[in-house]
Amino acid sequence: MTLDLKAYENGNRPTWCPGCGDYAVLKVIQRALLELGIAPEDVVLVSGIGCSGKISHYFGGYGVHTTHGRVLPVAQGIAAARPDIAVIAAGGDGDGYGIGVGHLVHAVRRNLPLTYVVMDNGVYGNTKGQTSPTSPTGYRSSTSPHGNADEPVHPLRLAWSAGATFIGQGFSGDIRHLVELLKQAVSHPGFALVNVFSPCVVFNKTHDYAFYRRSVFYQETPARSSAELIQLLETHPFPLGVLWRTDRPAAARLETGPADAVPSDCMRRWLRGTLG
Amino acid sequence: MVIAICGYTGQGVETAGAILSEVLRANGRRFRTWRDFSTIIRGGLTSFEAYVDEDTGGEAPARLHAVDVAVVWDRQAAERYRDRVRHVTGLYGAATVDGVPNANRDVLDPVGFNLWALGVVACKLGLSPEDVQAAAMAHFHQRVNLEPLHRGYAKAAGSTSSGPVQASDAPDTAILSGNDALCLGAIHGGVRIYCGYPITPASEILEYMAAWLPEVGGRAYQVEDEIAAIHMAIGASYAGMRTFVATSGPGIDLMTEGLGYAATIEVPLVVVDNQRGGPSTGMPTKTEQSDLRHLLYAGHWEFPRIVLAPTGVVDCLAVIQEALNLADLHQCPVLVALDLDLALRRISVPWETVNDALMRVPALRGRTVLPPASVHGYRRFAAEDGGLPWRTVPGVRGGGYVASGDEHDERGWMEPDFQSVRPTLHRRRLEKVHCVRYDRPLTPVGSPEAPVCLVGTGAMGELIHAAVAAHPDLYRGVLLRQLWPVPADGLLAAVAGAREVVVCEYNATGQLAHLLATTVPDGGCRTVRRYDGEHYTVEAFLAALEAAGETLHGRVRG
Repeated sequence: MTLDLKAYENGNRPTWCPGCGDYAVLKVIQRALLELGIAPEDVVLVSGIGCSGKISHYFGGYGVHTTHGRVLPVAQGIAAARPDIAVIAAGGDGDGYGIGVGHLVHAVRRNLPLTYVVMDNGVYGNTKGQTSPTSPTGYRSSTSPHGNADEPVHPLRLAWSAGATFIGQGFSGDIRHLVELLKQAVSHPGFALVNVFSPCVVFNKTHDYAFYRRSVFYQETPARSSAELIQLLETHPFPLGVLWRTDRPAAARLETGPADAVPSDCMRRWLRGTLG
Repeated sequence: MVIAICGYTGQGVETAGAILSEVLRANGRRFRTWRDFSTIIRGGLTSFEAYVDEDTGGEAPARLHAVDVAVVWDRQAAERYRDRVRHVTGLYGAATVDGVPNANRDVLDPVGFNLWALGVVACKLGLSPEDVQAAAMAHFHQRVNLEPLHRGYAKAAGSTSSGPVQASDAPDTAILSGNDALCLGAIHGGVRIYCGYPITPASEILEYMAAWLPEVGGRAYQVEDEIAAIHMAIGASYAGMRTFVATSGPGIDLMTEGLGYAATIEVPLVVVDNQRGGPSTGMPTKTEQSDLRHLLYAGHWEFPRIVLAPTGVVDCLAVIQEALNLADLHQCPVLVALDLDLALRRISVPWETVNDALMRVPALRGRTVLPPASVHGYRRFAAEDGGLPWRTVPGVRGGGYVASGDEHDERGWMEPDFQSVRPTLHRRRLEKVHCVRYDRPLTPVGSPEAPVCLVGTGAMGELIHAAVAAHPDLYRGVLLRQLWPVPADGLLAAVAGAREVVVCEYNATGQLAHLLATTVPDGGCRTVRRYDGEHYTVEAFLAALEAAGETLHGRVRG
């Protein structure tokens, strides 16, 4: 059976606002999988809570819509258990860099093969526009009426310091670039973080499409050293592309499938060896 | 014969116990051990006690108060055992300890105390010095000063001795703790992936799984916290692999977030709680059965669950497999209430018994559809025949669906018509544990004619056995294995005709008694409760039962 884009849809119509960057991310995931030739039923799209978290409801393969901040633990459980299945985790900046940021550090360290797409809009859009972990200092919203006092989370530096083997960044306003980026991330043999600037056109009036079009910088090749990566992030606050890539081995996964069972006499011999 | 070694934490008391256990096992002796350790990192008291059966016959009994030989390091340790030794000549210790008979004292170095104590008890148990020496050398990889061991032997041999015990025809035995049994049962039941976070008294489960799983193609992951552990387990189970998580009270608090999610997406999930003294950090190294209410009610809103409890170490081999089966058969969380005492005590068990217990439970996956199967016109949460829906896992062609914690329709899509799905899908989800068919929801003990019925779970099991054995005309017992839903019919039948029902539990508020109060006739029962972190000896348990019979103080109103 030849695959087409339709196979990656499930007929459920997204309820995102018109102009939301998340439409592009959904399209990009579907197209990248099609171009890689991975059948929809060999993919699990795991998502968190928030506007972006609804993405798993619109995917034609297996979708998992988790609790708030727990995208990465659930996705890692699937990735560890089923090496034959591609796992894409997706969520927002509040989900991934706020409530779930502890899991991010450890998922990066563990390096189980999966792609984590974060739709970063710098705002809690689903609950009507509160300040988020990536809102800039001084950002005004209903929860920071006098301006955000906190330093924003810097997800790429955070991932790098935890030992990331793949760091990429894209923009919902450039679908072609994002498809290529995602294909590389999905093909990466370890944990791949893809931060996507995905504007919230309703609540974030400062970081809109026009802002990103003005600010992004296309980086052609990954940094060759830590110093080069830090230098890049200092010089260009919004670089796009595969920015960092190393070949640290991925975490070991199961060597047995759900239908396999160990013969009982093997179990018995093995038990005796273990317990005397 | 009952022996005890007591020193301070860090002195290697547990190591001496482990070496002794190995020699006993190799000699075909039946035994069981208790480990009692302090929460203080260095300096608290650590005890190792072992009951060693001389006529290799019947079951090893519950913990006894009376001790034949106690080897103590200091005055504090001596205080603990002075009243428990049958005769003062059974007390051995360092030269500096008052109250130890002169002939039983020796000048000891803190470092060599454990081997000296090992020498004393091994001699008293009639074990050959060569066997003990070889086991110690193996344990320490040949790097150990055995001089204290020999001195301990000489000290014990100089005094009255029971003489060498004939080594029996060594039956093929294993040394098993509740934690060991749980892991073996789980692996036999098909668990190949385990995610955990260290916590007393469940850390051993993570350690054993980390050591054993790779040998069967599986993997264990030490994760960042219990929230990650339970969600990784949900992911693995969703993907079709059997798994479980184990923790203790503080970890159960964190895992609660995952319970409602697993129940809502109808994914099998087994959660083991090795209960310790609570609340909060509580008494990490002391036993309690005080998480029952949490296990019954944890989580916001209403969702189905099953709660099981093993009745002994060997029963752990079966309970974990039964839990895995029930989770698959009902597509819901199954919680297993263990307690520290049961998790950590070690017994010698013939391999034949281990094997039988393992084999008795066949793996049942229920309505799970695994690749390479395919399905057509599939709706994940639809159950037309009034039973459970079929559950596909990734890779099954045509089986895609959304597993959402948001309320959803039969496809899993969120934002459904709530008016329509709540009375149908939600009710079906809630009611699916109304007809749990569990083979042995409870185990009756003793004669149905006995007037007083003792009810308990977990570590209470062997104490109830001991009480019934001591007073068969007075006591009978019910060991509950299924705590939720309450096996009302079986329980009513088991307590029928009893003049009095006494619920025995390790907590302050009588949680099990409250749970059973609506089922047991007359709306209530007496309770025997203990919550000081210690486990009962048989003697203390019998005394507590007698006291409960004389006072209305422990009565629980229904």
